[in-house]
Amino acid sequence: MALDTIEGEYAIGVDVGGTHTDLIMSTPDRLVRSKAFTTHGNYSEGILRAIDLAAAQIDMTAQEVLPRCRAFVNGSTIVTNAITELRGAKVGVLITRGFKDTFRLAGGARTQDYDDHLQIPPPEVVERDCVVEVTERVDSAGRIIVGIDDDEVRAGIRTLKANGAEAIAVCFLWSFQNPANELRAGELLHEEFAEAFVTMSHDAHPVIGEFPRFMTAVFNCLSHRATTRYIDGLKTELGKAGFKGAMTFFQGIGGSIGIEAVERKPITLMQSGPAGGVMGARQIAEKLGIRNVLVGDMGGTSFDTAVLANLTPTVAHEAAFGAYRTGINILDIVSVGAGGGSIAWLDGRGVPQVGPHSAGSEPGPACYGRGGMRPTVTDANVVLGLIDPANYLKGAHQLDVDAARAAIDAHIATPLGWTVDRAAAAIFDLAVIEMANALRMVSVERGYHPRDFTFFSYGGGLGLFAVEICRRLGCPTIVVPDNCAAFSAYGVLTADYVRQYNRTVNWTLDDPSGVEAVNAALAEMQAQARADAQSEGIDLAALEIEPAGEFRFLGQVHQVSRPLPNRPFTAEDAARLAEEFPAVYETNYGEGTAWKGSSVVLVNISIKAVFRREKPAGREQEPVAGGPPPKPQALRRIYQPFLREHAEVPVYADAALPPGTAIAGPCIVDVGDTTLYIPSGATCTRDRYFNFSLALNA
Amino acid sequence: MTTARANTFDIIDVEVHQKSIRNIASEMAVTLMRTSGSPVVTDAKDFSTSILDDKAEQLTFAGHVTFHVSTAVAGVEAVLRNNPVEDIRPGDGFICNDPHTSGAIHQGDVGIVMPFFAGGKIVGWGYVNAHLLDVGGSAVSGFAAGAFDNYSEALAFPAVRVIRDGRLDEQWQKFIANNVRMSGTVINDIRSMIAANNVGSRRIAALVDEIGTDRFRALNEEGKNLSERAMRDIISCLPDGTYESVDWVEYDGRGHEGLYEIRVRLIVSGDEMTLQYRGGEQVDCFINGAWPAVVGQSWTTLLAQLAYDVPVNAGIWRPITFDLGPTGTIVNAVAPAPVTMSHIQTGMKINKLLADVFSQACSLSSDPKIAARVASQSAQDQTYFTAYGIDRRNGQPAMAFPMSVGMTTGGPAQTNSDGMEVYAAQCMSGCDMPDVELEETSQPGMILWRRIAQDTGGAGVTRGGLGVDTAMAILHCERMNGGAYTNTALIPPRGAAGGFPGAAAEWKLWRKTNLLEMLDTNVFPDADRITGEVPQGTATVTDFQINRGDIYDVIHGGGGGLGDPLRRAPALVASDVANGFVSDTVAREAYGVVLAADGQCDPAATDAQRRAIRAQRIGRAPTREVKADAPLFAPLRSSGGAWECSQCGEGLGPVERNWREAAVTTETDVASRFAQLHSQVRARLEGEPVVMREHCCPACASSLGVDIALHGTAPLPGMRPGVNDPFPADMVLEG
Repeated sequence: MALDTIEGEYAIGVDVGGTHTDLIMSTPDRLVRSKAFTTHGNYSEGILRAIDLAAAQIDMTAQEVLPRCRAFVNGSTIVTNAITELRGAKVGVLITRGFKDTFRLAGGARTQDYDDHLQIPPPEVVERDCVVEVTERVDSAGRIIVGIDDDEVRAGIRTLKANGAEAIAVCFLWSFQNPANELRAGELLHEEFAEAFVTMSHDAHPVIGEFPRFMTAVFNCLSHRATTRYIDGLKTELGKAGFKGAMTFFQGIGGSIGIEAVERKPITLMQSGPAGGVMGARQIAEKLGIRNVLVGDMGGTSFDTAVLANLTPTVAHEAAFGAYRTGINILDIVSVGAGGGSIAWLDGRGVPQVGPHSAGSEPGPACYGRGGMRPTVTDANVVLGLIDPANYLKGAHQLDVDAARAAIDAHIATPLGWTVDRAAAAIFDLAVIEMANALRMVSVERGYHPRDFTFFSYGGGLGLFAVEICRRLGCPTIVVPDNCAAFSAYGVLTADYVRQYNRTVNWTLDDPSGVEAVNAALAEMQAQARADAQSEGIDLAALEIEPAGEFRFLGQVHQVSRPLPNRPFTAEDAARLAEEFPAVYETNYGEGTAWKGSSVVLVNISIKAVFRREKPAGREQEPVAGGPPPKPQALRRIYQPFLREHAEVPVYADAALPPGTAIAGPCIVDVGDTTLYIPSGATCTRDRYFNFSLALNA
Repeated sequence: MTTARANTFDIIDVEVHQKSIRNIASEMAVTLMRTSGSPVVTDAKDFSTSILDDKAEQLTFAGHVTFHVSTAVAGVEAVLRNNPVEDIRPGDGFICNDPHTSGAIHQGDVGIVMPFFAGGKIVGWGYVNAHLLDVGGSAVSGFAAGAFDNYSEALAFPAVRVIRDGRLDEQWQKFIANNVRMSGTVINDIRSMIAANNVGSRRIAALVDEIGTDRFRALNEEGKNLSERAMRDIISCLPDGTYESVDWVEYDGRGHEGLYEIRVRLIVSGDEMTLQYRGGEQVDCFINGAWPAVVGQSWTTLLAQLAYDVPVNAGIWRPITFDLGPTGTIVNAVAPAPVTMSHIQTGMKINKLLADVFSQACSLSSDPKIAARVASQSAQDQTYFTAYGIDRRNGQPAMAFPMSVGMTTGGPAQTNSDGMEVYAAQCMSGCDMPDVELEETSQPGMILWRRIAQDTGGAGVTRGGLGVDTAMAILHCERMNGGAYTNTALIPPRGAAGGFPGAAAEWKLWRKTNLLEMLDTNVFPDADRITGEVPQGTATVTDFQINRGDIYDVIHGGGGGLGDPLRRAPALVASDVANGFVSDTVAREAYGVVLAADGQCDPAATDAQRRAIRAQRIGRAPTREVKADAPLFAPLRSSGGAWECSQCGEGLGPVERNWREAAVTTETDVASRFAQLHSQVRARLEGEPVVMREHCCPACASSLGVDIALHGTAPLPGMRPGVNDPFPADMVLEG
């Protein structure tokens, strides 16, 4: 199926999250968005419901839209769920003799907490009767010390089958140096257990460090079943409705790939939803001519943040999930427990704290009136008057202000001898601090100053906090994008084709004999990248190849990633990279940190293959400045958290703010599925693409 | 809980300030970790960062290694003692690694202290500490097993200025490089520590610039007050009284199987506590505990067991008095005592003793949160070797310091869970175990297996974490020399609340093996195929030599168990057996669980076996039944001035007396008892043997406590609620 040749005026992006399925549909003249509840038994149901809701906005039905739809891009939480909840296919493992306890030992599962009660065995990711040792060994130089004994492996496979394994990970030491033993085990698996889904560790992640490599293979197996079911269900349901376009999947690394690739490597969908938002912010920033972006996404349970310096998102190499390190690369998104449902509580010192515990969507905040008794961030917003209790999520929930006040009174205000308003303001402040600290982690701790960045704020609730967060960070401007309440789906829809390939080369740059080996590896990876792209119908002439290398000083443990030239390597390249490396290193870690006099090692190489897709246009209107001041739809009494005083402030509706309009705080903007709080000292203008641009007065 | 109200500030302001200071220390830590090249830093996380104020009082601590809480304070104090403050300029830095003069845990843990200036004045101090790969001297990587005094151990810097203008002074750099093995890595790690301090210095200056010195100081004070109050609240939940324990530090490096007694007394009085340590005269081997290690390891257990959620700053020190007794003992050593294992030998016994006394006090607390902190001792045996040689592949120096080997010990059994594997030492928060492939890159050898060792975890309602059996062969050096160590060969970690002890550590060296031949002829080097000589040797070896083809095999210890194993859910025991964590025999003999052919628990046979064990424990049929709702983790309680078995209600004598006097006690040589339990411990071949004393309720035969002691010594001290009875100030134990 050729992705870029399918015709059709419509294209759809969905972000299937834990609670809601968000959808953005591009139509010939505008984008429409919708939101439906996620249906966990059968995801297609919720997705079709969202398609119906979106189609209705252009007076059509799903059955009318889908046959004219050229692309359907999925952002989905299914793999994230399978991995974080360790619920998925029953995984069997073939592992080098002597090391069957690798998963139980988990590379050392101690957390950074001092609390001994948190130092407990990690949950079993593979049942122990599904781990079978194989008499084989490769040494660190890639020499096969002991090869496969076919009969032994066949017997092991039969044991795994008998014990109920559905998917098999082949996990041998040093297989990335020499995959012969893993490959032979793979052949035997094909003969003995053809119906099993198989992942070989050298194929999943051909990089040094067995624990993350093995975990990549195991998680790939674990997430296989849910992914296949999702794909099969959706293919059937959309097919019934006449969809003939291309179905693609958005990966955690921030680009989409076709069904075949996903079925082989479902783990690439890990963290796909949040990555959608980051890439969406990137699209809009590029359009607005903004180069440095901090993003923030506030959901019900967490706040996710990431940094894009010069429009390049940072990548988390060897991302860890709980105690489990993996080899997968995903966009580096820092998540803290500060969402709308995060619970406020008093710690042992009597100091209020927010999160990480969340009331979730059930029972939800106290103001939902569904049995939640403990105060949450959303309750504080209701008490402060920042959220209109009658019009929350376009009236989807009627909020109970008295319940919110009672919860804050009982748990925070009374114990501290404060008024409820003051306690609510404290909760608001603490949520701001948590989010600002998370932003600091992705910016300051990596050497970026927030004053050089624009903050992109999305997710329904964040608009209330964005200005105060930026005030704390010294970040001067904020963009709240149009469609911000379904922003991840927007990012998913506008995604490019991206695939990443990694390999360990371990080349000390001052050894000239390494050039040839590295070039051979690069050529192999490029050929693979082209073959994969071709199978997805991508025009190879438009395929961009971005090689990169991970470098470190000889003897160090952590690597620094740098782009490599997109051509065969020369000895001069090696000399230049080695010479430049100390300066690059000091940019990352500070003056005086480079290991002067140490050799530089190119540890891993990677290739990113990118095919840029045409982006659907959103709404656009020439801004008109200097028009009459917009009319508020109401005046509302709020308690201003930062100033700790009451005020009557105007509330503006979406329609009252056409492009070019400028308003000054304190005021509230209520656009239905999201609310902005613009405190005094800040201004808000609407740009030509209907984004809100907020600025702090100098 | 008392409600905190800061005097002049909104507590939210204080909290914001506290978090931003803590954030700066974290950023210092990230800088160090990312730039270091030593797996000791990047994986074992053997480092910490602290920020102190201009009074040398702690403001925050972002440590992984919790015992550095004490060294940060002692290090800055040493700088101020040695250097007139008016001579100190921005960008100056001082090196502190001497336990006797500059507050270090041991010489291998090197502290770099730098002043933080704002507006031309010192407003605070940065302290970064990391375990360096080597510090010279007779020891490889700072563990001088054979030294008789501190002068022959390693380089020891008494808080001297080696950094000017934010850079390591060239003269000093040459001196240090000339005196340490692996000088490249060592100098680079010192640079990384300076870089971390430079980051802290910039951030603190910016913060003070923003809020002003007065507000900075005032908020610091309020932060300390909040932590102090939290610490006092925790102590108040412990019942007033005197709680005591005794243990023995091991050293057999010179052939003689020495055991050196140390004692701790915890005295709780209202919202304050005193921790008293007493030992015999300091000795001429590296086990002595100097002040930084003894107090630092006290903080380790205080933080892990009780004060885990209190922000660390000077406030948490205020309600606690540390009394180390007279100087010159093994718990308060002074020069010339050798101290390179201060933290691991005497220090880790301190962790175990505190687990005992805190658990005694917690078990009597009426506060459910504190009562839940009862825990067994963890194994934390530090059993490994360090050696130095030349890599035959490239002629370069090579060091063997297999980090994963030192970490794979069993953790404590706790009220919320079985103990974990790879707990390492209690002080090593956040440590990772290096991958086999990384060990085989950084070490001159090959790891042949890394397996959980069955039956190493102490039996209990919750089981102790399991030890791991790892074998590493040397392949790339013809010959390496160094030392081999353990702190836990003779005295296994105790259980608590009636739980059984965990396994001690054991290691062996295979010499003249057939390994190289096997590798050359494509034979899998499994344990049962290895042939060679295994010489009988001491547990600590001062002149350790390991040659190409030799195999070092260590089986680490496990954590003690918690609660009477007869009350562990049979299904959990069955699952442990299925997983290979516990053998059939131990399931039957320690837990009283009999499994049917399908591996599930046989309820009738289990009930009969548990009754039989009870009868065997007290030599007759029990006269009382265990109540169905009896607590799992607090076998004793005091009621109306008398001790009572919480399992059946039997009286156990007046609270003024040791409850052990009323129990049925069975004393067995620990080596023979452990053989029955499939567990592991070295039999002591000279002097009094080490014994296991099982104390059971005379009525229901519940296990009330299982002690490890020396034969012929008095019963372990009992709890004395309501009594305030400190050790005499000048008390020194018999050596």
